[in-house]
Amino acid sequence: MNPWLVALLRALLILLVMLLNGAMAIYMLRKVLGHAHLRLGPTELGPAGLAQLLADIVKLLVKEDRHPNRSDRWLYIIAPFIVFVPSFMTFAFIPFSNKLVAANPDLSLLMMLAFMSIPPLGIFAAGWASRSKFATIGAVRAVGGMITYEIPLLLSALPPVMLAGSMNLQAIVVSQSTSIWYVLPCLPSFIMFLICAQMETSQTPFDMTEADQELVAGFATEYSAMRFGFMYLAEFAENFVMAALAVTLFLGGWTLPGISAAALGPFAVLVFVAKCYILIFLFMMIRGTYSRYRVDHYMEVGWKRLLPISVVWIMVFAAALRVIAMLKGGA
Amino acid sequence: MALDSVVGENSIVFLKSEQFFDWARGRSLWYMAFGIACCSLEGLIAAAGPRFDFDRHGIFYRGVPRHSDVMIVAGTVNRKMAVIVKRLYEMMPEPRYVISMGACANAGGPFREYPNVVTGVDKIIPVDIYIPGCPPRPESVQYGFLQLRKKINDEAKARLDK
Amino acid sequence: MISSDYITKLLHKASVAPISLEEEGHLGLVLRIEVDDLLATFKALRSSFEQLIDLLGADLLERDNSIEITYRLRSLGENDDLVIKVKLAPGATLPSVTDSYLSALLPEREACEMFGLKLSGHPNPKYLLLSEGIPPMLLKSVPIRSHEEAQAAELPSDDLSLQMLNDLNERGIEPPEDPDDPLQNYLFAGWLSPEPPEGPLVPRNIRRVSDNPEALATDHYLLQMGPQHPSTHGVLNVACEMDGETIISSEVHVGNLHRGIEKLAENRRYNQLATLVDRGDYVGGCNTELAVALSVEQLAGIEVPERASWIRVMMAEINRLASHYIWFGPSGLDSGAMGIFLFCLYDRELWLDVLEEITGQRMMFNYVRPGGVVADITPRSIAMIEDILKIADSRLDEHYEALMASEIYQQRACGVGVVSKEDALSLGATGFVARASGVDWDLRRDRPYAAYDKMDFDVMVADTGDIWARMVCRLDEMRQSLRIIRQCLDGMPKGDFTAKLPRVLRVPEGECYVPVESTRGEMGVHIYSDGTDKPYRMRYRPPTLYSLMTADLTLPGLFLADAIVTLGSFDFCFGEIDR
Repeated sequence: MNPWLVALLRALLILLVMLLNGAMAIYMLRKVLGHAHLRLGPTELGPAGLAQLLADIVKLLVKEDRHPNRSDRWLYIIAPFIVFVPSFMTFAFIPFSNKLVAANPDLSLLMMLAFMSIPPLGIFAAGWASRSKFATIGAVRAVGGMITYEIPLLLSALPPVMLAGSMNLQAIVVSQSTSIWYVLPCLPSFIMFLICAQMETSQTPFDMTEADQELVAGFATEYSAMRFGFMYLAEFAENFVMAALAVTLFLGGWTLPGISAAALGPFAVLVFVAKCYILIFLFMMIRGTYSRYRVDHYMEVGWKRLLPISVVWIMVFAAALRVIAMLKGGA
Repeated sequence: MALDSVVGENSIVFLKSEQFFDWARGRSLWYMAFGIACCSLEGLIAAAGPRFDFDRHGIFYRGVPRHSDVMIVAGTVNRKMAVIVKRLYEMMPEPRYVISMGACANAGGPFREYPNVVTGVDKIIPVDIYIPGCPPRPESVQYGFLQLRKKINDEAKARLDK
Repeated sequence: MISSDYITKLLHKASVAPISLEEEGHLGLVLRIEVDDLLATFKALRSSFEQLIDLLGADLLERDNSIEITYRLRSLGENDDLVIKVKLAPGATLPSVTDSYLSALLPEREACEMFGLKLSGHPNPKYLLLSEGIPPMLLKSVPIRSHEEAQAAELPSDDLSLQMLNDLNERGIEPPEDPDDPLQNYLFAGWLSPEPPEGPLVPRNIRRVSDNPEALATDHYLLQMGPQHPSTHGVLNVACEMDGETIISSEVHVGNLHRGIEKLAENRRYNQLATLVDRGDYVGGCNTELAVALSVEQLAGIEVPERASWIRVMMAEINRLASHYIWFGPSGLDSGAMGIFLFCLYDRELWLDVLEEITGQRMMFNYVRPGGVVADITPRSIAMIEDILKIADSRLDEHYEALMASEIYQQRACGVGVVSKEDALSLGATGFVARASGVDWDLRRDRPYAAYDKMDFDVMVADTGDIWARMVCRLDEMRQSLRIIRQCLDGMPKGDFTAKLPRVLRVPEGECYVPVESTRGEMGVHIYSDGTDKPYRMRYRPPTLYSLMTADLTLPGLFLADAIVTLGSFDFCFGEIDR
């Protein structure tokens, strides 16, 4: 087959997965938050309100696209895509099952984390280009936030790499299926990874960039119609990507303990998605319950807690691995 | 010419799709969190609350005019506020709808005698739905939203019937 | 009690010669002085009276061609008030007493614009409530519109800002977002002082955090928060001068909901007043209705049946609970916690059901009227209250767990937005704002009205004055309200629920001031009666106007995020502030 055609098909498939996931996640957010808040969430359209999302997206698509008068026009137009496209590209590296992965380079973990660090720049561009003060504050917070969580995020993703001896996500999953899920040996890393994931996806208690009550809608204050919709979707895509990454690194990916890959067959995808959505559910419950950190507390959490802890943990972990290896080698 | 009859402004494709869009518009009415006075407690806060839960109908609040479709004018508009109300209305992207909630927004209410008060928000911006009451109960607001939905859907339907 | 001899001595020391100093009817001790002696008098009395409770004007042009300004000073230690009255010629200049009492900051501006006076010595002598082109509204010579005029009324064509918007819209241009744009200063209606003060227009706060020389030098910018902002709780506009995320100085702009409750009250009969004040403090209507009813009863000498008093207390407390829920939830929401907001709304609906069962309305009850209440409590409502009381206390514990037990919230609330005791006193803060700052004062306990003297309840006083203290104080207030409701149910006396009154209530000539502890602090009604069936002048002391000043002076130095939580913790109600 023509390799270009294959690539195109793969890209389209990823886009479909991403949009579906975004739709599901938004629907789930409204339902989960609704039930957590003694409400019901959407019920009217379709079975259990499932068609609500269709209405929302169609409406956003056909709404007027406004440009503020004094905005930086080009930057304003491309910013949502800077947010949207990288989070779309990260989907390519997610191993949904042993065969279903769109791109599988050796350094897929690194590639994924590299792509994940682009959206904050888009957020910054969006906030800056809007020429709104609230949006600008949100933009500045996005950049400040990014340098805060990126390093602990990377460091907390390292122990599974050390255990598996590979930067390839698929390899990490496979090596987990032969030993144990890495959440057990690397529990502190897992917890730190979850916290950093919350920061990365800017969800309450770390939603500095949006901060509805402070910054109205943060960087998205001046965006309307589908441009706003794109950024909204990207947020949920990131949410899924972080959950997928956590599942892949720590929770055995698409595998289940005691069941071989062949036995799982096509259900591996379902196992993977179910694991992801359990984590997303956790994120959403936290989002619906907790207060928001103040921006300086946020920095404090990142620089004074997460960073030292993760550095020390990495050293302890590496030393422990070395000692175990030496003991094994000695025996 | 032929193309025009397929995708032109009065063609069946255009009208059908427009009807579909109106279906979506009527079912996803995000209102602006903008309470002026007493009515905001009933029409905005209680509406989002557990008992009335307008989210069931896809009616939810957004903090920003740029993201919202409906402006509920909930309360007395005076001359200082008139400028703001007008400006917020201008900030909302089309198609936009206005619900005038309560006696004050409809016609000045108990304060119409005071010269600082604008007697009816329809003197500043076009209004789609008027909800009577001082203040209207959340159920009334719900009914108002359903009427607004009906109004949105009827527009395309009327053109289709023609 | 503060004796008149003591005051005479103080005044003598300051070489002020009072016109008169005597007991006057319902008002208590009244000191009348010349305008020239005003500042000296206040300086002399400052140490004996901690608070300037209220300041109001009255148009006595027909009686003796003067505008009368009334100050009410309070000594908390002695639990006594002193009323000071000065008379000014129309259009004269009122010297500002803000040097002695900061609480005069906003009320002075209001009094001057409403009666066409000039203001001198004030740090920020701008118009407060009225917009450009509106005459001093509380003068008797300025009429209100008739029904027909109101119907025919168009927006005045000279309304510049609106005209400009229309022009821009016709040309398809959005209004520019430019700091020099007159629209940015749409609230600026003119100066009250004889000559405009120098310096920038906004913000003109009297307190300002100086720039930190060690920090990175950045340009300051102006952030207009509100009137449409998710967390200003109404139509508050705060102009903040920001350095990054820190507020350097701020100024609150009010008047977006000014709708003339005081003016319209002069054209309503006494038993119609409740409808107006309900829409003032729209969250805690029963308490404000109670203040009006009590003041009319005091002037007219009406005896209220025992049962009516008890029902009033019960309704006031139920309403206090409903009002506190709509504060507790949103103040959690301000810090980003969604859950608590909806939990509180859920609980509030329970109490609203009770209120609806008794009064027939979810808001705007129009229930407490002169003479008693409109309807008796029903057996069904008692059963409903019993049901809620069973769970209410444990629900409050849950709310505490859901919001305040979280460490994130504690980080946000503890030590933030601190109001010192001196500030709270000087700024006229009452109610929970003052109690959270260590002022042990509750009108329900210290000057019992209705049937509060028969109730057993505690008053919580905290001394840190931060957001946390305000939360704790009010949470305890809610528990005490539950206790009071319990006592009301148990001890409700039998009898009539209202006194027999003539259909048109005529009140003998006089003047009185009755404060009640409303949900947000001291809500007082000052009525001048001229013997007809309508009040000659009704002043409504809004507690939140004073806590707004407190909040304004607390903001400088805070982060933007903290400012939101701080503003929320003061629980503003704009119907009340703007009237």
